[in-house]
Amino acid sequence: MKEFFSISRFNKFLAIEWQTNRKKYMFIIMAMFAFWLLYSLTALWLITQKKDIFTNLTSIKLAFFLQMFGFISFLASGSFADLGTDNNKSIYILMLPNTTAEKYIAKFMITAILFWIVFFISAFIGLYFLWNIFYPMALQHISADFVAIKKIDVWTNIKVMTDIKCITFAFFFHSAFTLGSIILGKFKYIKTLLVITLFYFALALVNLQVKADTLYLFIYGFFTFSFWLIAYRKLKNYSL
Amino acid sequence: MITFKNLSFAYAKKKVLNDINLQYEPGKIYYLLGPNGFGKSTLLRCIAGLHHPQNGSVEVNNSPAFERNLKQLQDICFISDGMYCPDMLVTKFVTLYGRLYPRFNTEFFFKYLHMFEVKEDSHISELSFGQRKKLFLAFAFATNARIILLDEPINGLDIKSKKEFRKILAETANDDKMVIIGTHDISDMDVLADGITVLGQQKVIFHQSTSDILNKLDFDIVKDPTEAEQALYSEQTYKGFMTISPNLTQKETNLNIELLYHALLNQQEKITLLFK
Repeated sequence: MKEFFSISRFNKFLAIEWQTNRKKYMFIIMAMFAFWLLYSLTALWLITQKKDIFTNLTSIKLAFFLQMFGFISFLASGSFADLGTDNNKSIYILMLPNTTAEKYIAKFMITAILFWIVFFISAFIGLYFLWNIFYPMALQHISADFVAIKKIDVWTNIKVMTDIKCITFAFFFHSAFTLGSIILGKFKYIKTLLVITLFYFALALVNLQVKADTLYLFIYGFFTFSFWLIAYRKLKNYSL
Repeated sequence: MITFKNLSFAYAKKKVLNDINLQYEPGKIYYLLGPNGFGKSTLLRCIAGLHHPQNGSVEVNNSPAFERNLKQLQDICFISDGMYCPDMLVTKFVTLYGRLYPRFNTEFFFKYLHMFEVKEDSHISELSFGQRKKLFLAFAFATNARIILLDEPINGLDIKSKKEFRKILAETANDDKMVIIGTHDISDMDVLADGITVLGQQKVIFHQSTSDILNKLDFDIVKDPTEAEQALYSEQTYKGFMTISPNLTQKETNLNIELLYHALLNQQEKITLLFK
């Protein structure tokens, strides 16, 4: 077992990973928070034009999913970004004395697990400020007969938006972009996005006949696990 | 022990190595020579398990190099010519990376670093190409890895550092450790070589131990041009003619790798015939 995975070696690898990419990760975390700040500022500006995106559910959902899918795909696509694009960096990552499992799980933990934690915190804080601080503030300024509104329950709204379908799609994105980062050369992100779009349409066509949500989810779930496994195999057998 | 069995490798459609059969033994220092683009770096990368062979195999201590299993990664230290390393303090670098190698010796690392005159409190990004190379060389030797693969290690080193490199190389050589050096620059390193491999177009044209070379070839300097003409190969210098002739009298001479390399490029058949 120690030949495959060791906690001590894993921690050493995580320390190196953090030292190497901490600026990138910090930037992404900041960007995730900045995303909602930007949304709030846009909402404040739009409300002066008599357009409300503070409580417009379509806009909120769009922003919420854009943040979720945008960041998870970006992070996953960057997990092995140097493979196939920079030989010296590829040699560096492949020759580190850690098992492939340790390298892969470390990246997985950062791009999938850590992502969810930061995502939920940022979405919660972002939506809390949007609904319970900026929105009342905006209403106060645009309406003279402002009546204090009831606080919106952010957590329940997040829970409603983050259903099983949404999580399945997010992990599907993660698996596809992780695989893309290993097997593709230049323009990994765009190429993977194109493939996913084609995949989505192909599956949507099939689904027209199937018309069963659970089967649809099962298919995406199946491909998610398959892509993760293939990505691991491809990393293990990576040849320069 | 490293064994190449009928190894072939190609980049897309460009074949670089074809049907290579070689054996490298532990405890020895090998020089890997050849013109640009003839596969020196590729051969080293094959040993490191970075290239999947098209045909054949490379085995490192009886397991396929391409497996890149943990033991192999801990036993092989590969320093490529354009080695990448994230920016950090040298001291941080050695703390983070050194502990990944079970036999890493921090004391040796700092000793070699001082020999190379690289300041330990500097950031890697502040180091010049040559200084960065020295840092990686110090690290490679301090890992105590059983196989050290160095691609153009003295490229970019100043004269004093080249001397220090030779000193460290000689100091670290032991029965357990194997060093393979892919290089163009072989000046003054002849004395350290235990074996030499010369690559030609897609193939190995010469692979011999130093003792065999000295048993079969006589390296000499002669003044007489007619004597030089009779040699297998000769080159005119200010000292006279440097020659390579068959060592018929088992005379003890000093190996001149550069001359041998030139001889192999120009008179390959004449030289290799003596080793058959």
